[in-house]
Amino acid sequence: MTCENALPLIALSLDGELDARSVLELDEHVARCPACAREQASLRALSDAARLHLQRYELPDALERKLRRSIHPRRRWATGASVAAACALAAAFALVPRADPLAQEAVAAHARSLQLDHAIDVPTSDQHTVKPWFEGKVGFAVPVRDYAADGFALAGGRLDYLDGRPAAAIVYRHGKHVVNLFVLDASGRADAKIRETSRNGFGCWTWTRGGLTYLLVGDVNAPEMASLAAHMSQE
Amino acid sequence: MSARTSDFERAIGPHLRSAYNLARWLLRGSSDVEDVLQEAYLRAFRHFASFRGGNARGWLLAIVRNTCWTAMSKTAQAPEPLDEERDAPVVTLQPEQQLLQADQARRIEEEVQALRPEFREAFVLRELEGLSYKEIAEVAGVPIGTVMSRLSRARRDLMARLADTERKAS
Repeated sequence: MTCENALPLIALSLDGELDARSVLELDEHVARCPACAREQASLRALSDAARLHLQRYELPDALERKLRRSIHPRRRWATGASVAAACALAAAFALVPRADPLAQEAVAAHARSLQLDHAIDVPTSDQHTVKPWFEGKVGFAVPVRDYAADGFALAGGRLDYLDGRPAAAIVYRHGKHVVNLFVLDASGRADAKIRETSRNGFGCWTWTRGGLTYLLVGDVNAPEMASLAAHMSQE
Repeated sequence: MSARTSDFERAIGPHLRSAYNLARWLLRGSSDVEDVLQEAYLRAFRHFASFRGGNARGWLLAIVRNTCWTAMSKTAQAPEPLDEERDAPVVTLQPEQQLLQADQARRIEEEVQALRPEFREAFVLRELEGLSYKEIAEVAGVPIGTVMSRLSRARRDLMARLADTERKAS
């Protein structure tokens, strides 16, 4: 084998692309030829250095999860809050009787608050923090109480809009459930006892008292919601 | 989960790391590697019906590679057309040039990053991903002879630059 023949084979041999017979012939030549031996050592040093020093970039876990999730578009909805929101939205349009547009609005607002993950503007379990937070925002004094003793812990407050007017949304947590109590000006309506528009485990309880209309919305089971509404309406 | 989705994940999932490594080396920060990889992944999913079994890694890497090249062509740094025939400088490195020492890592990385993308692609697929010439040819969509000459040019260029910086340093 001549150098001219041998030189192009050196890289192939190092890359494992040369058949066994040619490898033997090449090795014989390299053993006798200092120039080709230098070429071989040089290529080998480069290859070894590359494998030793060049990093193989590691796929970040977060990106891997993102990629895998991207071919399951529906799975994006399968997290707690968004499922609740989707159910609530469906309920908003399908389950609440059209006869009560305000209740329908309240249910829709409740659903939005879950979907946008924006249930609370002022997150606190302290009623003395929530109450003054609403001052100057809704135009009436908002009665804020904690019902932790009934299993509904005060979680905070949020400014919302119902019937084209600002409404106070007082947020309670009951286990993993979020319950909204909307309070807005009754605009001259007389006091009214609790009315319930519950369907399929989702519902709205509404009453009017002392110039304020209340709407309690959530997907906690009906007896507990009814009991809470009764308690609230008596305060 | 549909059968198609689970088949896809079974075939492609194990090669996502190779895909990411190739994209990082090819793009060199010129495009958002996450966006490009996401696009390639969705493209692979859409065209999965055209995958007839066999080398899933090569099939995925070809898609990733093409997506990277498209992204690179949109950035300002598209390279001059490559003259595949031009001769590379002939330089040999002495092993005693100590390329294996730890402090050489950064220098070698910089020089590989500085290679033309065609050469960098061949070099990374060969040395880091351990692909055969035939597999590289399939990924890059060129004949095996072209892979051999690109690898050779990549190595010559690297040696010339490494020898050069070695001389400057000493």
